[in-house]
Amino acid sequence: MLVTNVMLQNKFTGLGESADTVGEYVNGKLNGLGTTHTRTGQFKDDKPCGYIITDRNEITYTDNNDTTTKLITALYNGDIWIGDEFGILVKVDGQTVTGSYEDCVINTIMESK
Amino acid sequence: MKTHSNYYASQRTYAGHHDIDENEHGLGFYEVTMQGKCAGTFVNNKVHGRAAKTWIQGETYVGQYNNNIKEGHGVHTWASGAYFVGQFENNMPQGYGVLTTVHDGVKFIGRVVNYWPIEGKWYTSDNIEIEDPRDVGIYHDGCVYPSEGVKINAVGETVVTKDNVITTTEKNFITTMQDHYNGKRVSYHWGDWIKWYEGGFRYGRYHGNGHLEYHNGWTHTGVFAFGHEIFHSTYTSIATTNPETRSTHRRLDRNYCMVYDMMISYYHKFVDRQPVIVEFGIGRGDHLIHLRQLFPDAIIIAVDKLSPTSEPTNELEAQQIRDLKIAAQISGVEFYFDTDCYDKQSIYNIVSTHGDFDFAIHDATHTTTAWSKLDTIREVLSGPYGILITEEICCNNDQNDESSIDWHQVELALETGWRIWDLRPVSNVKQTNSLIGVYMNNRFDGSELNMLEITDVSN
Repeated sequence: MLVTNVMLQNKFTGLGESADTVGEYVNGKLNGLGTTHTRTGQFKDDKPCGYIITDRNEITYTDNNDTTTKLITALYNGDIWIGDEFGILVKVDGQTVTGSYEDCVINTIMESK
Repeated sequence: MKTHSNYYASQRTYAGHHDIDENEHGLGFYEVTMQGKCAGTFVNNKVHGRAAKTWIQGETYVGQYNNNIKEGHGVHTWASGAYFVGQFENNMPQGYGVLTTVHDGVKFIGRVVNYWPIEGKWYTSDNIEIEDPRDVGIYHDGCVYPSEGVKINAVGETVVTKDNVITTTEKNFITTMQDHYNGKRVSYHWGDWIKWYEGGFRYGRYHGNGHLEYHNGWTHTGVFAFGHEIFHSTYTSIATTNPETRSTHRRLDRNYCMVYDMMISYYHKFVDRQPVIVEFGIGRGDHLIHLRQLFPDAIIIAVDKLSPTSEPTNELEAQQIRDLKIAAQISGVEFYFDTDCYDKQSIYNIVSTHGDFDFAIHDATHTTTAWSKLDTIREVLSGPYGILITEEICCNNDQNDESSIDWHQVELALETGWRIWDLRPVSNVKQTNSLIGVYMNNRFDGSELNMLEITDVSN
């Protein structure tokens, strides 16, 4: 259903679509699966809650306390970090390094500088 | 919002943006009943770019898609609590990533193919490296073996073997029993809300009489059908409680009982008066006794073209007449002997006495075209919800004849509103003519057995 701001203010509940958002609404807010032009994933009261993928293909997990953990991070040099504070770095050339984010990413950047 | 509805399949509903040709294009959301839902970006009716998808079994995927296929980076979670973050290809985890297993959160970091660890390192849930995963009871393929014959893989799928034969496979809490109809399902991993089930199974689901216990203490002892607790008797529940008779054995063996159970559930939804149950083809009467237990308050009518006093013309008829003499002793049944079920006036006579039929079972001698002679019975089904079942529809009587099914007749029957289930794949024994047809004036769902329904003869 095409939703308007007035409908959202009137606490629309159901599957709604607008020019910039499509998803499941409860009481006028995104609750459930939804997508915008920049984010796709799980929402609670219009805010990310659960897994989200962004338009940069980065993935985060947000818990009920609004704490967000990055799970897939695109680094400035094209490398990809997979994991939270511990995981695996997949470099552009295909090489991989396993360990903590600090060891694999931060220290490596410092060294290269 | 656009709804694509194939009556026999799940219903897909889409909401979102379209292109000029009305293709799903841009931001969108779809839901498929009994399967799951998805929000994401669409290109030419396909999920392309990024999406978040959930399945009713409890799995979730959030990540990149390429033409409906998971490809790129993403995170997939299983209902067991296991999850994989990393690279996907061919719709599955494939490449590098972090696989958090169902085994106390032990992680595998490295290269995986479809959640099987291939090359990498193992870590505890607090990121302490494990030199050899067997030290914590996990084999290199991510499986643990908690007891003899039980194998649980990294994401919680369970395989139970006995004497080197797989008896049970379990994925996302769906248990499939192999080769037998009674079994026990035990929850082997955390996250499961069902503690254990013991009882009848059909087609991989709780079906028949059983006992189910949840971790929170809720229990259900009684009747199950298609995986759910139900609160009325079913064909299967009664047939498996009582000593097996020739007629119930045949219907259990061929799994016709599942179609009966499905239709009985519709019957219970709609019939709210003393029902009229009719069986055409009486045999020895075992089935009448069974029907009486199923429908205790019903008027039960039994119709046969022969009578106990008929003169047989061949050996088959002689046997049928001997059977009828036994059946005629059954009390509480309205018998109509010497009555042809294909004769219009005979049917009208029964209806004028007892009213329209609520549940009619055609079990007279089967021929490939018998279904086409049942128009009068279809006419006198009660309202929109009267049910007519005919077994071995469009088949001849030879259960060993590889060409016993007349597919042209199947096509014709489908065109005239019959719904037909092919139970050969789930029959306990090889019987080539295990088709069963159902007619109801009102269209009914039938999704309980949609994988076995014939909808297109060309397939």
